[in-house]
Amino acid sequence: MKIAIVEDEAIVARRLERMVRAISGSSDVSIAATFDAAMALIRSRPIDLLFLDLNLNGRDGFALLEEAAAAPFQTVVVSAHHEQALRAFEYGVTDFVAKPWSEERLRLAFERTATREPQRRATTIVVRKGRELRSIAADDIVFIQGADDYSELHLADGSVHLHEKTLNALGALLPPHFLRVHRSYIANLARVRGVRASSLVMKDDTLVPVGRVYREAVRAKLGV
Amino acid sequence: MIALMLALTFAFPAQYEMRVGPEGAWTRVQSLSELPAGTDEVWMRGEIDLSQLRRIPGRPLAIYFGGMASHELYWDGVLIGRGGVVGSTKEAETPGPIESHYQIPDHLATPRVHSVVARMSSFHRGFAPVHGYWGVFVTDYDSMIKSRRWSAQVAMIAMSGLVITGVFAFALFWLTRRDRSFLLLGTLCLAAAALLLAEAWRPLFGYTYDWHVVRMRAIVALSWLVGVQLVALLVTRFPHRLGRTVLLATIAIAAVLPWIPQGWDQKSLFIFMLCGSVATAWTVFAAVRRMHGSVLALTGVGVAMIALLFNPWRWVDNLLYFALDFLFICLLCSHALEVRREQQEKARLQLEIVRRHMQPHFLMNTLTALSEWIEQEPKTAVRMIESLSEELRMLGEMSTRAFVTEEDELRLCRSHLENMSLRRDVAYELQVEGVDGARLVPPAIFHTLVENAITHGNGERVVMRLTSRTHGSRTKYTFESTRGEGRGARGEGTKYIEARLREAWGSAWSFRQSAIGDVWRAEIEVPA
Repeated sequence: MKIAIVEDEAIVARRLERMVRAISGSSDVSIAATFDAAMALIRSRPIDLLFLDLNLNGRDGFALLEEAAAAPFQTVVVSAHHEQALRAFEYGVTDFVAKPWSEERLRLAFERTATREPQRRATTIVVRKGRELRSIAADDIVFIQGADDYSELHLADGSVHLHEKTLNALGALLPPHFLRVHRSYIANLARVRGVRASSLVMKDDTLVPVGRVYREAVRAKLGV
Repeated sequence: MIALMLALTFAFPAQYEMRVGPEGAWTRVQSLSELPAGTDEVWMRGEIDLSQLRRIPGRPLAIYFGGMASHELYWDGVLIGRGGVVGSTKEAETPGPIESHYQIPDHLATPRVHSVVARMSSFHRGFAPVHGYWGVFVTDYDSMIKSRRWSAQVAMIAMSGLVITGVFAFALFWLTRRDRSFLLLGTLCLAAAALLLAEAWRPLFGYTYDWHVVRMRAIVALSWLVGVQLVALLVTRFPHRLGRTVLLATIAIAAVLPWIPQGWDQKSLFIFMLCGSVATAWTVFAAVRRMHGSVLALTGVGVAMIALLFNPWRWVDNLLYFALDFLFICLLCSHALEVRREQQEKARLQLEIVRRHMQPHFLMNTLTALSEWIEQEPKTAVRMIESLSEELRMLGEMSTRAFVTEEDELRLCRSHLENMSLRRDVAYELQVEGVDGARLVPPAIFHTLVENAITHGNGERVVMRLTSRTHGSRTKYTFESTRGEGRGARGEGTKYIEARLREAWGSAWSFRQSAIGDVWRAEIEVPA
């Protein structure tokens, strides 16, 4: 397991690294102490899990968080600023650990990443378009189609955006009304207009296939 | 209607005749202003019709005589009053009162036309009046007393406002210690009160006519003093680099102005027109620059100016005082608001030092590092707790003070550096040069520079250097550190230092920050 730590305070980083190694058993832990090093680390994939401090040498770490949110791996924010938690969760972080933390608290964060059960669901999905990052409100998503190791977000305005996270990863981050309806599809139930035998009719008239094994769950959730 | 009532309550001579010398020929004059202002023996005569005068039964009548002359007053040929001693030479004359009133014997106050004759001499005027000052009328004795008392009362009411405002401004000056504009407001109020007293001297106390010229000169001089002090106050209160020039120009022009017009009232009026216009313009300028309290000050100056333009002649007599009362109250309120703002700023700065160490970034990272030391190296943890306590203790002590010694400030910096070294595992070094330690500085300004250098500095070793040099009356502190990430924006630290310097030295300081290659340099210059 490749773990990255972004933290500018040496002793704090040392503590985090020590515990991360102990809990995960991984020996592949890298640390970035400055904003630029952190950006380089996040962009140099692969990483499996990122521990991110949002305040680096007085610079706002949300640019790093956006970058991480568009990436395939999971992110846990470790911050002194508890008031940043809500905003961090909006971007789809798996957990928010407030400083100072205990080893038990860090174990919980690892459990949440292992089970992909974030403490709060994301309301914003960040996608990369070439060099640019773009934030998309979750409510604008009609459905998501999964490919091998990426996903396609189909938005209400008809546009399609690629995301580096897998369908499973996105499904875990998004609110419960984003339901798995097919092996390769997640649909936004808030945008369903009608139900057919093997598909959902969305408000923009697109059809989202419903897999046989998901049919019962979909009907139950929609109440039809 | 008012004219009719006035005519019924007061009786004025219908026409006047005059002659110079006891043997001169009588000539008609249209009004009293035409009476010669000469110094020779002058006779005046006129007729007053009492048939229309409203009498209150049982009350005697009185005749008022005002003029810059010694006089003998004859009613139907009977001498009824004498002011001073009329003479044909300066030595022979004794100056009489500037205004007098005499009771008309009841048996002479019948409801018909009477003759009034005044014999006058005025060798003691000391100046040549344009019109002179004259007045003759008849009314009942009580009304005479009331009308003469009225102008004195108006003056006293207005004056009490000025004196209270002035004393209060002085008190505020002593309490706030260094705010010169309070001192100016105080002296301005007292000058205005003195002007008012000079104006009201005639109805209040009276004087012999030879003092008239002295009183008039005092009024012009005090008008000048009030006018230029008003401008000086506003220039001090709402500073700008043009202020000095504007003030000096106003002082000079206001000093020349009184030589232009002839009449005493015009001289004062010209001064007030000039100073009022400059004051209004300056306050408008301050309001445009959105300076604190400028709108309130503009209200006061504006109302005074409108009153002045609305009725320039009543202005000098009594509008002036109420306008000044209102203006000074506005200025005082504007000053009080400013003081309150400063107090709030002071409280905010005190709080900011303490809060800085309650901020999550400082507190939580410190506690996290401490947790690590406790688990890994308990002895280091204890050292960190020690240095942290020392720092917090010093900050608590310093936060309420306006000044601390350089030595205390450096001790604070060093304990912060020790604490941060333990927290961030960085070797921080503060080199100090030329700082004698005894001089006073506002609290936590070097601490703020050190803190900024830590926040933005990278690497395993960060060296900072503080040097101090005094040249003449100025001391210059130079603080240099390695330039790190994210430098350049005007952060909270910069604002804190500026606010502290402003609180300590008004505007007599400078604070510059610059990046020279890899070095971040902050330069603070203050009075030595």
